[in-house]
Amino acid sequence: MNRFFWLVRREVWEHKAIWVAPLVVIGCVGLLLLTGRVEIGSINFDHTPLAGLATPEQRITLLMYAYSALALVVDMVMGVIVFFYAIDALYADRRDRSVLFWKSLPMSDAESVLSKFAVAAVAIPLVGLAATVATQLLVATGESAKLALAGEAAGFLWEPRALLGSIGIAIVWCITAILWYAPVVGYLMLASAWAPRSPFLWAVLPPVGLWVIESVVLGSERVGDFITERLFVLPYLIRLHGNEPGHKEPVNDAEKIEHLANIDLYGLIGDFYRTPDLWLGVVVAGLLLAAAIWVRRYRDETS
Amino acid sequence: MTDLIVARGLGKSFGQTRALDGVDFRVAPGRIVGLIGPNGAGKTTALKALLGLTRFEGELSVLGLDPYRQRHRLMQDVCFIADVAVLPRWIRVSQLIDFVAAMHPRFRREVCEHFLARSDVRRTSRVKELSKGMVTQLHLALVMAIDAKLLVLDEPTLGLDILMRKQFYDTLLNEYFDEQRTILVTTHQVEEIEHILTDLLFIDRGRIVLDAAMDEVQEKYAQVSVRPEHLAAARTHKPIAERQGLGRTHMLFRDIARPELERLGEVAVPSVADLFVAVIQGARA
Repeated sequence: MNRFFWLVRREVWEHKAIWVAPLVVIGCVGLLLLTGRVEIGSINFDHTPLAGLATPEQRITLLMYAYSALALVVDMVMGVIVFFYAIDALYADRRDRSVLFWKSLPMSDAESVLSKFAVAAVAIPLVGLAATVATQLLVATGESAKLALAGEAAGFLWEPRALLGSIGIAIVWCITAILWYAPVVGYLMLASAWAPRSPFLWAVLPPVGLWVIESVVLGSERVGDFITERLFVLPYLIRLHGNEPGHKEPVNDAEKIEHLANIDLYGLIGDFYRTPDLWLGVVVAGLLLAAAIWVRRYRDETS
Repeated sequence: MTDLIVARGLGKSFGQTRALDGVDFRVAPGRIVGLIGPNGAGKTTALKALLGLTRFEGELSVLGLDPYRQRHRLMQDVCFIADVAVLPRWIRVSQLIDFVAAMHPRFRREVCEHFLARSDVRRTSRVKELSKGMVTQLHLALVMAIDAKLLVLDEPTLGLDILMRKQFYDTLLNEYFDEQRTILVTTHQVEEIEHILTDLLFIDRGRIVLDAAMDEVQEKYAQVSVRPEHLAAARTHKPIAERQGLGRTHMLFRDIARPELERLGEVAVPSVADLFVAVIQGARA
């Protein structure tokens, strides 16, 4: 386990973006707080319509949305980092030939690949979770300070069900995302281990090519749907739920708030566990990783 | 003592090319073996096979292990410098030492520090900030601090100036090598390592063309500066190489009695470079 710690540590040494990027995000949010520009959707913390909302229940739900929107910003940044980290993980040291140095040490390729997977699929999301919670607390602190200075009531921002609820959602989502995105990371790492050069193209071209060919030749979008559902989640949830009968698009703000307030965020995350897709993905991730280890171990390093 | 490396019928093809064509050799412990051959002779392929970095045909045992299947275990006792400047460029010297210390059970940090203390390598520098010579010093310090049974060096001094190269081999010979260790080295600069080698392995076109201990070589081969009047007589002994130089004809003989050669001219021990050229040309003829 100690060896694994050092292998992970090596990755953190090499890829400073893992901890620098979330700090930058927190810094940016802090800066926007100071300039009074933290606006999340139609909810403006400065001239809050929240305090005047109809029911406390709605207020809590909408606050959770606001806090979770902060999580979304952090998640997108971490997603980009995971993508570029995974795609480079088993290629960069082949490009600069330092793989010959790493391979001169008594460590197995499985250890090496799994440590990099652990960083991409687990460590970076956990760092993202920490950054999310930090950002949420920062916004709550900053906004309540501003409201207090203006002589307004700020207590509702610290409503435990909203704040702790958002943190709870962030934790549950983090765990779900680790499982959901594991096959994506596995796929990127396999491309990274296998690509003779330009792992980005090797990773991106096959699925995109299939997508284009399918839509041109067959006129269907199965591959495209599969990819967007796995990557962006929301299309997946929409397909899962379908359009409920009697559903009508909200037209004004009041209806929008009403509509949003009726969505159960925990329930949405729970939906991932109701279909086999999540667990199938985990199995596929295992296979892809095994393939990546095999390629890493047995490919002839050209010199 | 049993042999450290045993290769029998070692082969490897890249498409139509036979990089290694049924190579047999053995390396005993406590030797410094020079694996010498022209470009594309199969040196690097042979070393990669020994280090478990490539698949091969035939039998190969290194420290009693199959390098391809048991590479992880093999690396406990084998060290290699595959090339100059393969240390990761982004890492700091202190991080590199910490990492190797954590990963390698036979790494002795104080030995590494001892070697580094004599160089200009600073602990806080990143590898990419170091000169090529300093990177080599660092890599050598790391490798020499590992208590390995076999050290494999593939062109370890390529691109270094002559002072660095000399220092590299002096350190290796005087401070690292002992009876328990074995070193296998390939290089183009044969002249610089011939005084440290105990054994020669010449390889050409995927085949071993000479496999001999240095003292055997010195007994078997002799270079003679033949006096002009003895040229015809000398040629009857079938020299394996002949070249003109400074008004004299130099001939390389194999297995000719010493007194006979001394009659023809001044006898000297051939340099490895001369021997190499003669043997390779002989093998190709």
